[in-house]
Amino acid sequence: MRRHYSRGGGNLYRSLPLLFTFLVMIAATLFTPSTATAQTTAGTAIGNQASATYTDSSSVSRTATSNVVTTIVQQVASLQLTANGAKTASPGAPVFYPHTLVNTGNGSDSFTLTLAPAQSGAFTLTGTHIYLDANGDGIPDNFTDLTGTQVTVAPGAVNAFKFVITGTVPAGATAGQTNNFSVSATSVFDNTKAASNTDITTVTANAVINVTKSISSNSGASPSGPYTVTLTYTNSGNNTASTVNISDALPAGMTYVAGSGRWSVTGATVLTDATGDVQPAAGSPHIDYSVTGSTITGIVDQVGPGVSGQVTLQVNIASGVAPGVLTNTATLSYNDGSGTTVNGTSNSVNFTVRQSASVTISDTGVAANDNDGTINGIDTINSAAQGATVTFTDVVTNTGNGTDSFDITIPSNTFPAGTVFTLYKSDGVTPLIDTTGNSTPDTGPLTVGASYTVMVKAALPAGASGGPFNATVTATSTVVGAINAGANASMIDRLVAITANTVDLTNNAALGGPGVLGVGPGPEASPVVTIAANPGTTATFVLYVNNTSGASTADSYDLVASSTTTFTTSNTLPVGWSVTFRASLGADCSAANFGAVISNTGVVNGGTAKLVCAVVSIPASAPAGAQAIYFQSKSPTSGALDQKHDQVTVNTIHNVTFTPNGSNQIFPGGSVVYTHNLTNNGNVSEPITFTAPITADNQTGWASVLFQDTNSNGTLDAADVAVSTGTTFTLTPGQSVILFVKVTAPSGAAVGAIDTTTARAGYNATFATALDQTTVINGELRLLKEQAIDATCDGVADTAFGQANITAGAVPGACVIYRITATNAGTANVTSVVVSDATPAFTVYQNNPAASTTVGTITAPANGTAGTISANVGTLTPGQSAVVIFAVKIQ
Amino acid sequence: MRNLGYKSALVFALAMISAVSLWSDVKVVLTASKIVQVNGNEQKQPGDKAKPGEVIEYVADYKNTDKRPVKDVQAKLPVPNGMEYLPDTANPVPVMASTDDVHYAPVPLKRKVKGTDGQMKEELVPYSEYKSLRWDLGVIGPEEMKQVKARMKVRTQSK
Repeated sequence: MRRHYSRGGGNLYRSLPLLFTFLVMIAATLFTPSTATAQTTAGTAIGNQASATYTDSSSVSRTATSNVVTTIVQQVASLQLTANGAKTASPGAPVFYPHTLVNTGNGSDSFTLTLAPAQSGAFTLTGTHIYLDANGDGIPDNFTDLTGTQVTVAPGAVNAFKFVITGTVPAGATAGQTNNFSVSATSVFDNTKAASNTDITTVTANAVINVTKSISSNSGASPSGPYTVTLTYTNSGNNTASTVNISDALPAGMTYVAGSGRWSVTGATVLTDATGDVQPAAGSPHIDYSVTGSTITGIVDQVGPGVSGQVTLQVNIASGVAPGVLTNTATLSYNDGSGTTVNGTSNSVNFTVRQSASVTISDTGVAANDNDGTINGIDTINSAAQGATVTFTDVVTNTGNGTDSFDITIPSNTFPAGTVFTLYKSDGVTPLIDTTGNSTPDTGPLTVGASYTVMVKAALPAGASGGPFNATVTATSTVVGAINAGANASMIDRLVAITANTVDLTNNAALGGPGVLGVGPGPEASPVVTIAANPGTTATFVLYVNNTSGASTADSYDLVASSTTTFTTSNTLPVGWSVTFRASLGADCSAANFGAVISNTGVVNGGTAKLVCAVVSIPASAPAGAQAIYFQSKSPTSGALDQKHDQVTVNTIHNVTFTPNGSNQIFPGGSVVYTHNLTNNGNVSEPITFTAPITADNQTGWASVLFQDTNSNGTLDAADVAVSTGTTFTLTPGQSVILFVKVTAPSGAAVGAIDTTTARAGYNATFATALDQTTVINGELRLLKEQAIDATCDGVADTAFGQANITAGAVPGACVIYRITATNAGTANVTSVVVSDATPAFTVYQNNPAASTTVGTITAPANGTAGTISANVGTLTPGQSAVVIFAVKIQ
Repeated sequence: MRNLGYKSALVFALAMISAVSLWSDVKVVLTASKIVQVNGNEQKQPGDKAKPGEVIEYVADYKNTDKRPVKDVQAKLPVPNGMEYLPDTANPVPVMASTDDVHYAPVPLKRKVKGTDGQMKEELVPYSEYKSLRWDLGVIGPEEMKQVKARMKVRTQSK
């Protein structure tokens, strides 16, 4: 790990995508209980984010936050090596010196353990080694020599590396000679950081007592126990030691279990804790075992050469002990047999009091931010508007026994989809960020019993309503290596209801304004506003879209019209009707103020209204009467809607026409038929009546009769019935019927006389009239034009010629052959007769058959072009006819 | 340039876990520089890496991007975990500080404690307990900017 990190700076730049993962890995790996870490852990990402609150120009309080800047804490190397040792030893005997290496840097490091190549003093220890002593009992765990090797040690006393160095006093060494023997540890990360200890061995011919200390477990909770402490003494010297005093002062937090003392000599016999009584009471060896305060003392009267023994006792870890390392070293003094008192110490034994993580998270019970007003594990907010942001106030308390940071998460919630949860610090402004390197925002370090208030903000989606909604908020311990690592607690953040947005669509004025109509939810049963208008015109409704949601709740609304209370996304109106919504450039809906055509109001702030002009176009054919128009304003986001029932009354229009006026020529005693259409151009059904005189002629002796085209064939024939004063029928709007006026001139009519015939049809207390003007002539030329289809343009009519409309086959590419018969129906010659016709629109002259006339000569346009066909017939005698034939091709 | 890329990548990763950005007229840009002494002269270096005991200077620029002034501007700069505020480095002055991110008072913070004689007495709150700084900047005019800064030390003793 160290190697990766030390070279990481260069690698990071070359492998940006891996960077964050890499850092997280380091942080997770290196994070240790903070109380045990000397310095801010290497790899810690210290993030910072500035913020501001301010009031904008609209007097709205706002918040701004900056980018996050991050500083990665770099590794520094540091170490501590303890302790210098001093012992006496017999010639030829081995010596063991326990040492403890603590990484006091801020990241995991490796250390090279070396023994000084040169020893100083009167003799040199032989067979020197460094051995692991993981359990710290002062005795090698195995005999793998660590000299010159690198050992990896995590930072902190908890991770202390314990080892023993050993060597053998040469047999030739003599009493009083000394030896200095050094061990050193050098940081691999920074080889300028090194530490060493020196152990001094003094040769003696007398007793040599070594004491080693061990404990049955090296770690445990607070409180816990009992643990057995074993103090082993050995006389490796050559004389009998007396008054061997082994004393163990328990560190704070470790308590003695009364009556737990045992001695290997007396076996299961309980040693009394009192001072001054020896056990066994008679004989030797015996022990004076006593406990004074937290110090346990055992005094063995004598220990012969080669003799060893053990004193055991039990301890408990008290409650309330902060996590950390309890270090304990026994002390020793004895008379080495020569009358000299020798002092010494045992190895030091570490006991790690493990952190116990515990946390609570709760509501405040303060009604202002916890509407239920009680501390019940539920932070209750009674209501919020759609799209609003709700703030919950959650208090996290460290109920563990050590400093801890707590991750804040929202593992589950029943809020509407689209709700965004954000965590803030206690000020509600600064975002809560991660301080532990695990990517999850946390409270930051909380000391024992400390509380921190986390603000949870839920930004609600615009369209949701209802409730209640619950979010589970969880605080989770992040301390590594805790007895109950990952301890967590949860509470509920509850929003009882989201108040739906509302809108009120009114006529003529905004809510509260003068003349406002249609207040309240629609659609109304009766039209609120009715506008009368003629067909073919427009009617403009003045609408106000009032946002009646809370003052801080803006919304926007789609506008749509319908002829019923059923709405779709587009206008639903009768054929020919249309509605456009227009913004107003002013304060009214005059045409001059018409703004853009809109289908949505745009943002309407809560408590305000938007003026919209609804322009209804009425088709020219609109029937008279009421046409309901429903308007709807509906928010596409919140769904808030209101509808309005208005109405257009289409004015009644009476208009019947009798067209066209006609003119023709007849000879005296002859008759002529005029064809007229009686058409209802109004918007109501018109009963048609006839009153005398149905027709009238302004010339004496003339007669005229009005006929209905009873069989609707466009020709006056025997089946058609004359109109009488009893004739009535109804024309619906747009309906048309054909009426014929047959005019007969008296036989004595003077040539040149002109008769005007007035025909009339009554409706709506008035008349529609048609005027036909008939002139008497001497030579009366009658023209009859007939037609026949020639579908293949082979020059031969496919049917007989007739006056009837061609109802089939007159398609582009087909031909029509016309036959015009000019007959002199008079009594004298008609001279200078010219029969002219033209190719109808969308046709061209077709020269098969070529244009012809039975009398005179004919000219025609070039084949395939439009133009006039003109037959110069000349004179027709009474009764003589000229027949002109030409063909056209339909394009 | 390489430093920038490195920082950007990290900022992005951290930004994802922090708040959604809120719309605002005031844009806040925070930078961090390491302050080092080179031959007796102060020098600024990129603040993306620092060892325990080294000093980081945070500079926050508050720019009003609107055409209208904003008022009652309160700038907040947290003292992040792992950092410790260095006294008399906040600029401008006066500055306020908080030990709980909620209650602010003028720097230096003081508190009442019960002395060994049982009497209440006032003492200075250790700077190491400061959790955030606050400046009351008042009005920022249209398209104007105000700046706050403060120095902090990477903790040599973990809190």
